[in-house]
Amino acid sequence: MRYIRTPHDLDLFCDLDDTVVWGALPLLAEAEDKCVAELARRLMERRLFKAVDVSGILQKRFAGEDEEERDQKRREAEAQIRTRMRESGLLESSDSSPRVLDDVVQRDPYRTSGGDDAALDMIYAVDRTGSLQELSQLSRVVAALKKFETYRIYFRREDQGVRAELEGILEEQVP
Amino acid sequence: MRKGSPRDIATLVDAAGGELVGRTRLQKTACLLELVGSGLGFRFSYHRYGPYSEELSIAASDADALGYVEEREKHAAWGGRFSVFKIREDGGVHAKLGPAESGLVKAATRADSVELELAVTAAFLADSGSADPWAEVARLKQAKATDERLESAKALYRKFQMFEVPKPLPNI
Repeated sequence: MRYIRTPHDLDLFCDLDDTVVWGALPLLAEAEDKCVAELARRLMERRLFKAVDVSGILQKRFAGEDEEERDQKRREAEAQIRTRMRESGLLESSDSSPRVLDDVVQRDPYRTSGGDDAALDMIYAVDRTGSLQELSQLSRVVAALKKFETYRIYFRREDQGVRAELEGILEEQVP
Repeated sequence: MRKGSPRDIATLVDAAGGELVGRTRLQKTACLLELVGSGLGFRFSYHRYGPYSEELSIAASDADALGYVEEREKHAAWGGRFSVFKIREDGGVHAKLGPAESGLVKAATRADSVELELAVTAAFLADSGSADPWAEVARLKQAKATDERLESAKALYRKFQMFEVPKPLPNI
């Protein structure tokens, strides 16, 4: 409550950790906001959303293709699924807790793209001739580092209607 | 509320004249449209380099995957890479922006990238309730916000204010 009352107080913010959040769950479960109350109660009772690893499913589906082809097909299928998800209305939020969530997790271990700002993330080292080189020019291992990306959809596992609808959307792209 | 989609990326690149250089520029241009009330439906929050929309970033990748635009990575002289978005001839421009919005997009895409970043960040901070957005920009972006660049960014901001849009940018 102290954090909510003074959200710009960094000392209070630093005191927030997982024990504070877990300890607040019983109070949050009684909140007037239906979304907060429902999600807090689900966490307390371990009724977690079921995750669907869409990228994993698509990678298996296109396993026979060469890497570039597989990656292109996976990206296109994911984009189609995201479009269908948006059109379906399943991701619409209201004052009750969401029926479906989705997210794209990205991990970029070494970034050389992103315009001028990427320069701040790049590492430079002196090579054997004494000249300054960007690290991926000096190391094959660093040059081989790629961005990891995965698309997931989450739904209430007891919601059979949503499950069937999601299966239908996935089936269109992964027959 | 309307939500941004991959088709909207094609609309934006089309309004820019068929080509838009840089993911950061794409972000700032789309944010500018949101701030003037002509947005495509992308939600922005303050990120490492100013206003940023994860939804827009994903939609841009999807627009390339679905063939609405082509995103090509090019190597910069300093060693890094940057993206160039181009409309595909067989792509999917299904909607056009109005004349004021198109003018605003063209002004943003022709501007210096750092000045654009500073101007849009100031506009975003003003919209978020900052009492002195330019001072905040100078504090948050110390490496980029030199006195000279800030003056140029303010001039660019005033240029943006001249477009007749649903929600004019405030005087800051």
